[in-house]
Amino acid sequence: MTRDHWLGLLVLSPSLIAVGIFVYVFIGWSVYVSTIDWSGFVPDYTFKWLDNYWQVATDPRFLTDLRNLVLFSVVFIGQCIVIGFILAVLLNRHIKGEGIFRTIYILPFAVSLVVTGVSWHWLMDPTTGINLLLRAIGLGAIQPSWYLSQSWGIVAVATANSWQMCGYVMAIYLAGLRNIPTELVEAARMDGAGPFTIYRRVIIPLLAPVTVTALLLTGMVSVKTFDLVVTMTGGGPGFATDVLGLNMYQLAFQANLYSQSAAVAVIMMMIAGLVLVPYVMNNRRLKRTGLG
Amino acid sequence: MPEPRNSILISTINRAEGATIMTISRRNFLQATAAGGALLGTSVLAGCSASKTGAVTAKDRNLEIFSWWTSGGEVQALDALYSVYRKQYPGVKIANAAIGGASGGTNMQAVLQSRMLGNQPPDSFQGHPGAEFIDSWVKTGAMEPLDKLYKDEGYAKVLPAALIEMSSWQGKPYSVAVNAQRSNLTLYNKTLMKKVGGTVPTTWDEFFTLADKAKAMGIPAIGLAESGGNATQCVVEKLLLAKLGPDGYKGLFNGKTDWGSQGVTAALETAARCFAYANPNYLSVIGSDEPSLVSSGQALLILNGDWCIGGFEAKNFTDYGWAPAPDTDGMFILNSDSFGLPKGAPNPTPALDWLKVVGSKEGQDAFNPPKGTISPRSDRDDSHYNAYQHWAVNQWETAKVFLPTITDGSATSTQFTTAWANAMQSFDVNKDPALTQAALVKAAQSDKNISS
Repeated sequence: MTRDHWLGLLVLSPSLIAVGIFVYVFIGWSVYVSTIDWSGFVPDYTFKWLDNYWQVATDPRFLTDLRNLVLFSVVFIGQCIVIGFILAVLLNRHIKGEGIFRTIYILPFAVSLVVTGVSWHWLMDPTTGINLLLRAIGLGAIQPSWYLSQSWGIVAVATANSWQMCGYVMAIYLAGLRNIPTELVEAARMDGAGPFTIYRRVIIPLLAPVTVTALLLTGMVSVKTFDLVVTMTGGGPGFATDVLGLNMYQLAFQANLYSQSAAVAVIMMMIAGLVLVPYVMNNRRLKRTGLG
Repeated sequence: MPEPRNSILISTINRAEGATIMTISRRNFLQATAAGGALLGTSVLAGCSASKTGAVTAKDRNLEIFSWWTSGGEVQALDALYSVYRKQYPGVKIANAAIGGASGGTNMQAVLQSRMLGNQPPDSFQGHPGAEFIDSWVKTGAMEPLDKLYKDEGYAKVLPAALIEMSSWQGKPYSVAVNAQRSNLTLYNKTLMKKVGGTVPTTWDEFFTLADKAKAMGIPAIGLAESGGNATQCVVEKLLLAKLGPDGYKGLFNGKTDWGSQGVTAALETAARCFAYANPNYLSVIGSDEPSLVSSGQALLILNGDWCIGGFEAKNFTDYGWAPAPDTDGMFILNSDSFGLPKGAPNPTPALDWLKVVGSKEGQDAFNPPKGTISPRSDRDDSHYNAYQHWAVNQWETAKVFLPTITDGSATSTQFTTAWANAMQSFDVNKDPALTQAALVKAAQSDKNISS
């Protein structure tokens, strides 16, 4: 076994080294940069400890970012999972054109976020796009301001993003549905369960791992949103659709406030960690106690 | 199933459940690894050598010019400069490393920062002379001083002192300007102006009278494009000059004028009034589409710089008029494109020759007509200039004072310019002069140039 052990280590070492350097060393470097005073071209290595975090947190723009993160996540994740699940259930019926429909639904995922952003910018422009359609079909009274809304602009951005990712969530739900043993469903039916009860009591609980995966994936996407916001709204009217990623980018590349930008990056990482770490710990606990 | 002796266990999936076990022979595995490693190695080497511009052929035979001129008249102008260079210095291969996208070269700036920080400067790059350039590159020791070049070429005889001062730090110039652009202009649609029955306003009171007339006819008087645009910044900047006067305006950048003072309040309050006369979709019009607001008749006039004229020409729109922005006649808010010499440029001699071409009469006379700007040299040849450019030359020569621009980075550091841009973006939505002024005061306090 020892030879295989060493061989395994050898085979893994390039990946381990690459991940070690490009992920963990650089994370450490970002944390370090966020504690010094690098606010110009030349870094000033005096320690400012949590001063940069304080400056970032007291900027009203940051509070808008956090609010947008919560709103965006709720709307985006909710839409992706609900619509993805419904589409998967519909496609699971082994209908004739299943392959075509599957392709159509998953095609938006192949479109880059930049293209998505530009297209939806025009679709949701209050003077063109969807509003023109509404006027044409006689619903001209309903003219929402979409992403120009001060309070709900971010919901429009989240909708555009969920259009892009619904297909992907549908694909993993479809795989999950196909893996459910038919005996269980038949047994439930024989016990007298109606279709809704079957879904509620049998199928959805069995799809719990898939739902968790979908939640994680979409959660990560929503923390890291950047390209869609840049191309669709540019931060929106008066930062109404600003997000952490855009804030971080502008701090670094427009204002040259590298330390503050690193502080935003570390905060983003901690937010992502907030979701991920308990999940991983719970998983390990379940595996250890044999319940997983 | 027992594994063959000379094989490697590639994967087991849920061994406990006795699922798939895949194996391949050890020899095949090592062959595959060697092939993969060789492929990776050669691609890494190829990548390395491709990124070292100028290191492939002999030194001083290449020239890499970095700019954001990638479309329309700008690219034509750049090519004209290259032709002049090739005529004077044959045998040098010019690499045009222009990066487009985003107004004012934001994308190019981001790449430039990475290159300068990584000690891989281009031979020369385009920038706006002034505080941003000096703060970012000169004060940090990344640029070579050009006082000898200025003396040899005799620039002091043909350029106004204000321009040389803007390009200098501690008495030494660090960049050579290729053109002169004016920021404080009113550009208007002549047909619409006749329809409203007014004339281009010379004072802000006249503007509001005109705006009321236009509003009664359903025409927005002023065009703003605020989705990633800087229209509001331009309007407020001109208002600051109008309300504070040239000395007061200049004092904003060295601490002599308080950003919390009455003049700034007056400027912001007047700007807040303008929103009522702007095109109603100003929050969603993309910044680079601002000239099309006038050319398509969506607005009567815009308050911006003469680079918008390039936008008119691109849409074949010639029915435009121009005048100094209200209350700023005789004052020239100067913006210009200039090139410097980075320390550690891979080809210093061709780079210096490039600067000579950029600052020369021949180079500027070839560059400026297609670009739509004017040459700052007093010995310029204006035979190819259009009607606007002739007027601009006259204004340049008779200007009482030259001033830096906040919006395009010649007056203040990047930190302040970004805080300014952010404050104006919020101003678009909250239309609150007091809130905006407070944000500007806060930004001025954290800026080392202003608060020291």
